[in-house]
Amino acid sequence: MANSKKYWKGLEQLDNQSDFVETSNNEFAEHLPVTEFLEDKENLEDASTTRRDFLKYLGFGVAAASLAACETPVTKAIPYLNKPEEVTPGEANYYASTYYDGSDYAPILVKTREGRPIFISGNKESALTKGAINARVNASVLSLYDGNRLKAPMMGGKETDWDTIDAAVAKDLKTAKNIKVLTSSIISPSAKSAIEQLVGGNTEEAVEGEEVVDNGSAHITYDSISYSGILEANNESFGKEVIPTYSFEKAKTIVSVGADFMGNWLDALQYVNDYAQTRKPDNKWMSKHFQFEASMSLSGTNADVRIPAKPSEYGAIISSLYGKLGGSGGAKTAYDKQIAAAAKELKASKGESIVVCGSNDKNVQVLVNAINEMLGNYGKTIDVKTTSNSKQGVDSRMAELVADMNAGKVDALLIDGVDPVYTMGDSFAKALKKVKTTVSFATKMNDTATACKYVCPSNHGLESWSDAMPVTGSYSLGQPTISPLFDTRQTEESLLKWAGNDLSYHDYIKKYWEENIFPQSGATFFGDFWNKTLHDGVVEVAAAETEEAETIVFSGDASKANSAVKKIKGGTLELELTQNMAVGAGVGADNPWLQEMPDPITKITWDNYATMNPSEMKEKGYNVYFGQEESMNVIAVTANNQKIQVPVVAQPGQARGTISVALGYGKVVGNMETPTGANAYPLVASTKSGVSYYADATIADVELDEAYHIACTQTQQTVMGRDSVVRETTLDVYKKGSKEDYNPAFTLLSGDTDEHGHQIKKELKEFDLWGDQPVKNIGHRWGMSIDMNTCTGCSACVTSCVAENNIAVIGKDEVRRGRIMHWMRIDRYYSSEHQPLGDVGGTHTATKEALDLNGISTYTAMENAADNPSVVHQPMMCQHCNHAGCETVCPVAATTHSNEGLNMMAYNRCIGTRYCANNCAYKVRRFNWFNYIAYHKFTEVNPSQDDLGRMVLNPDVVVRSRGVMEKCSLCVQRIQEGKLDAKKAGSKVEDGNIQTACSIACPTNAITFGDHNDEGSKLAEARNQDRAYRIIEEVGQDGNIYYQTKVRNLKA
Amino acid sequence: MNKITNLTKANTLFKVSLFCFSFLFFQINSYSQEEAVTENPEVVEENAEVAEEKAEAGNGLDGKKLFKANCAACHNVGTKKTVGPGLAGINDKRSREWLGKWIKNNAELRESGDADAVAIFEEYNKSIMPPQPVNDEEIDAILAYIQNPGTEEAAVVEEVGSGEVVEEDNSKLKCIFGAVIILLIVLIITLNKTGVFMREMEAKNEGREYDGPTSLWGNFMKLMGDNKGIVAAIVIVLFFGGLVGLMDGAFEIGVHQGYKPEQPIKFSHKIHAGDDQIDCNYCHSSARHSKTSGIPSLNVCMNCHKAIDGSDGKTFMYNGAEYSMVEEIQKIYDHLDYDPETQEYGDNPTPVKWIKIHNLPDHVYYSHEQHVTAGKQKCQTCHGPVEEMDIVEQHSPLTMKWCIDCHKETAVSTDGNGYYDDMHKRMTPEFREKVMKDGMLTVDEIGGWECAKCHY
Repeated sequence: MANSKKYWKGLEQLDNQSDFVETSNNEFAEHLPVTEFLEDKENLEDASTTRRDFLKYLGFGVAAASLAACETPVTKAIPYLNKPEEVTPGEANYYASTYYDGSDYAPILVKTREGRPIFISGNKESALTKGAINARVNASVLSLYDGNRLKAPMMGGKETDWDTIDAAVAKDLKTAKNIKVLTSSIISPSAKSAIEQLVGGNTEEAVEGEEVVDNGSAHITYDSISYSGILEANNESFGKEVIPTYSFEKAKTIVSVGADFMGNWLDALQYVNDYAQTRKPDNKWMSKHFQFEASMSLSGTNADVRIPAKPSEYGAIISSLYGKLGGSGGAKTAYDKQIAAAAKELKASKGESIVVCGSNDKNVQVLVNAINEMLGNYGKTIDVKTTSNSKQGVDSRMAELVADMNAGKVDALLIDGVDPVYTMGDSFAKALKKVKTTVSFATKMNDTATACKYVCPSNHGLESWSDAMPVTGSYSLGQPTISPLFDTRQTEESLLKWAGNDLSYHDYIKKYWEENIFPQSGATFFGDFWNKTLHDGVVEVAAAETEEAETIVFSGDASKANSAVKKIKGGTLELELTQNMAVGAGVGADNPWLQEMPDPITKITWDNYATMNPSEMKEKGYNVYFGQEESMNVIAVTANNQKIQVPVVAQPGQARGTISVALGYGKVVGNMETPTGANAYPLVASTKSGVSYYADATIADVELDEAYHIACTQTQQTVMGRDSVVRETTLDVYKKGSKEDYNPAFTLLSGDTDEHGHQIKKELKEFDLWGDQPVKNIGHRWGMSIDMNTCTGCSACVTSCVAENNIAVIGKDEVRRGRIMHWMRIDRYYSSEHQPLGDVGGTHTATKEALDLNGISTYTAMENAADNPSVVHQPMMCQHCNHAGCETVCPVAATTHSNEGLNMMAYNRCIGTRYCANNCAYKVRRFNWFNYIAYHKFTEVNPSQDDLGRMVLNPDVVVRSRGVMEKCSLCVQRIQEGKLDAKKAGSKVEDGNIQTACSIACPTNAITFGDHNDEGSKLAEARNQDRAYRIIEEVGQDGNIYYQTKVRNLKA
Repeated sequence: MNKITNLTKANTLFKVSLFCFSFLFFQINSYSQEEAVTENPEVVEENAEVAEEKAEAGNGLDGKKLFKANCAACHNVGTKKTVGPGLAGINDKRSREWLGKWIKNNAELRESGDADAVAIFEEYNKSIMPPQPVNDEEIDAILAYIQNPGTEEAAVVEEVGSGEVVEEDNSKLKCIFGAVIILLIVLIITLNKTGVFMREMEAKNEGREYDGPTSLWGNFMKLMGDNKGIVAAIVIVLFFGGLVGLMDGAFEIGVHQGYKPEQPIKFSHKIHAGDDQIDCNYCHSSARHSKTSGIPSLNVCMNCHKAIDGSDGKTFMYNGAEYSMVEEIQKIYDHLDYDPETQEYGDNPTPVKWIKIHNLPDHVYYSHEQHVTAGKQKCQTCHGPVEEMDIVEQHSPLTMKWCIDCHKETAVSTDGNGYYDDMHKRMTPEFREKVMKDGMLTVDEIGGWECAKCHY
């Protein structure tokens, strides 16, 4: 089955583009302009270094180097004067805390060394996220050490001190009447109460979103990405302006129309682990996931059936689904067959399904509610009683605020957590000028802060106290893990101070908890309750069962919504504004780790761009191929009378007639001078009915003086000419067939013949030239198993690896040359069926239904292979081969094998011949081309070039220098630590006690690390499964990393 | 005759050059941070058992011992305040009866309304002196000791250098070398003169004019010209000898065995770890549960030195010289901005910048807990007899060869450790037989020689 598909990493490979074919045969794909350099006679003659100079420098260099080697530097050892009890130099401390950036919420565990936070992982105690984090949560530790953070409060553009600014603000606020506090959604009950102190005194509990009291002061919530449509729809349907909670672990059928619920939609971090639990083919049932969408999202790549559709059609698809499920007046669409198939599955799993839609249109969302109501999902998979607090912004209230500001009805505006000048543009900037007192709490200078009179920089989250109630009854605490690095003060503390409350925010939270949360908790002593919550990070407090005992009934007007939905008109070219995994709504835009993390789908770094269907691009004559020297076409996208310039790239699977641009870009990263990417927020349509993330657009070609390059890792490090890299099958085959059908063992012709004269095939190990290592089954044998069914491709593991192993950031230019240093990459393969219809797999007869359902094959067979490919994400790192190709070719034995199965790398021994990389079948070795932490070329991008940025480095891992080869060590520092802990405790290494950086970061637990020789381990269990295979096992390198065959929930 | 003279000369020359050569390398191997060597010709050898006068109570009880056991944590026998007041002259100030009550239960005394007791209580910030489990006889003994603490502590060196010469006396050696060199030069000149004289005589005897060289240089050149083979051999030997020396020297680069820098505070490990028998782990507590052994923070010093402040004028021997205790201990106080009179800490503390002695390269991840706790190694295995060093020096070369040599010889401490029991279970009989051939499981046999054990 698996071999009936063609896998390709990019269009270059699909179309056998000549450059790709040429470079992919080389280990190092970069183009070195040697001939050009030598042919440039004039330039060479002008060169000022003569041969004699060269020899002089050489001689001097040798002498200087020898002299330097003789020097004995005097090192000082400076102990603490008074050592804090909990700090032991050399040992890490872990603190439970909370991450919340206005959109993503995650309970986290912060690892600190000698008082410096250096690594963030998810808190597995959390019942909400189950420890799920994404790359932004992970990489936020780097933002703490961002040298561009504001270092002191500012007044009128000049640095000042807190006393001065407090006095000035207090004076202004005293005379102000209409004080408005504008924030992102606030999930912290204490912060809400602190804001109330300022805007309304201690009158009453906050009403969702807004609190208006006599003096006209109010707290307004504004989300960079609006979910107003859902809030208002739920208000109409249930009388509650809430975001429901979803139980994806119970959903047998999931239909998502344009909602990337595994990436950035609503509380994705709370869904993704639950979703992954339903994707295990060995369970009783496996969920079936339909995704209708324009651009390829993370959810789309993981869906069983993905149908490209224009964003204007989302409403019609929902309406059609509504009709097919028994509602009246369903719309007609071009996707009838697929919608019918989805409806059939939904009907079969009533009360065990979820329908979601990414549209911000209230009417569409009312219709979605009606569908879920028809399916009986409320109270089962969707809960409107236990609700999520993560999104509270309603568009109309923000519009009202802007109107008030313009009318001069706002005396003072305090802005925290949002950058409305950046996200709303001129409309807000103009209104802001009319406000007399403006205060920004931004941690870094942003567009809004620049326009504000006072800037009172808040602490980084890791320097702050916080609490959170992301979902009714679920609380978490956040504690500082380092003292504020600069002269900054937490927003809440500033607010309290100005409200005349002198409590520190820590005391304030504690008091709030003692008065409000502790009484509900059922605990006996507040001290114990507080300490335990602080230690665990999270606590579930049963909500007081009071007035809401009655069931909430759906009371929306579905038919009215339906007729409104059917009126939505589409355009010839539609622009969809999306968020990607690295930058999100803009949170990660200034973080070098995130910018360098290849996008999970396009594999592009350091840029935003318009994605377009490759067939359409070819029609327009645009370049669809990536490559080091490929020049990309740049287009001007115009929508809502706003124009931005972005390069256009091919995205297989993009709906025809649409382009997509990621939001959140256009910010300056590190020490760079120009912003990275373009800000697409101006293209967001803001109308009376709300904000819309799609629009009719026109595009025009832009001629640039220079070629525009894109740094895409898509076709770098290609595993060549092997067809056993990816193995996938369908649930049908997996359940009914035998292992031979979907995961056959490798055999080779042996040369011996049987009685009929046929050559006998034998298993691989029969051919092995190598004997087993004598210790192979003795002691430890570390390894991993990666389940491609639950791997979503989110790339949290990639940034986690960067943080743990001090991997250098090298910048766009070097990434383009194929020199990205990441030890771990996630290969994204597109695949398309290459077989005629009607012959879907030998022993399994294809039914008519199977063909319809298997939307991918029917669809792709009709169209171009790149129109709607299916996608596989495959994490790839050193396979720690027992018979490694790299080890045998190293001339200096710098890479050798350990008794415990690790492929070791001694950097100080490496002389940089790169033979090992050339001989690696998996292309996982990275050559260190430059001294990235010192060379001036990387000052702009590499955060380790200044002392502040270096504070994030892991002291347990060496910082590699120029000229050595590096690769995944399987986090040997963690293995050593784990073994030592076991030795000290005098017990065996318990399975699961040692986790690598990638396995601990994986939100879906797709990566299992363990000891192959521990027969009771999860790894041994996974390895012995029928789905387990090793990549290109036929080359006989006997790796220690296993993969689990991907199973899609499809028939045949 | 001629030949013999020449050979003698050649030999001498060869010896001289070899000597110079070795001297050269002697210089190369010395450190850039050479320790100022303290001359230590004679160490005051004093008897440690200085007249230890017993308390004159006559009841046979040792007042000093009792004082040390019960009182010394908070009081001293001088006039200086520590936690509690100094007790000099207490017998005159208070009545015996009052003292007895106070020592046994001062709270009761206070409650009874005794004005003196309340005043003291107030003076010392209401810190309570716990009731002491001593009987009247013992109190008498203690008071007698306070009355007459003996003379030994006033001027006596508390810790006396053992008389060992801590360092090789390099200057003496240098003197000898110098003398030898001068002697050799004189010898060469004399030999030259004698040789020329002899040859002149020979020529005279044979009735011809002596036309050979007379100067030392001339003779040297003639010698070279006459013995080209030998000279070539010498040159070759010198060249290769030099090469070998150079390579040996190169191997020594970065090896600082014997590195012994002067530290900012004259802290003697010999006094603390040797004489006072303080366990290494008391100060270097993180050696047991961290990668680093940890330089003790000053609050650890203050555990003892809050009471032991050297105010009694004691001195100590450090590297052969005598120093005042109070000056060195005052350095701790200065760094902490601590005032021993008021017993208060100021707000201007400064860090102590010790000089790090054991410097491993950055790419080596050595773990103390692995060796101390899991491996049950003694500190002295690597650090040498620290308890005998005033100034700590780098005892071991800390080269990789040294590490792996030790890993080859050292048996893993597996007894009673569940981790190794589990590992043993996984061994095949053949493997066990192979590794246990020498009767023990050495570190290298379980992967202690692998790169990634220390380099990552």
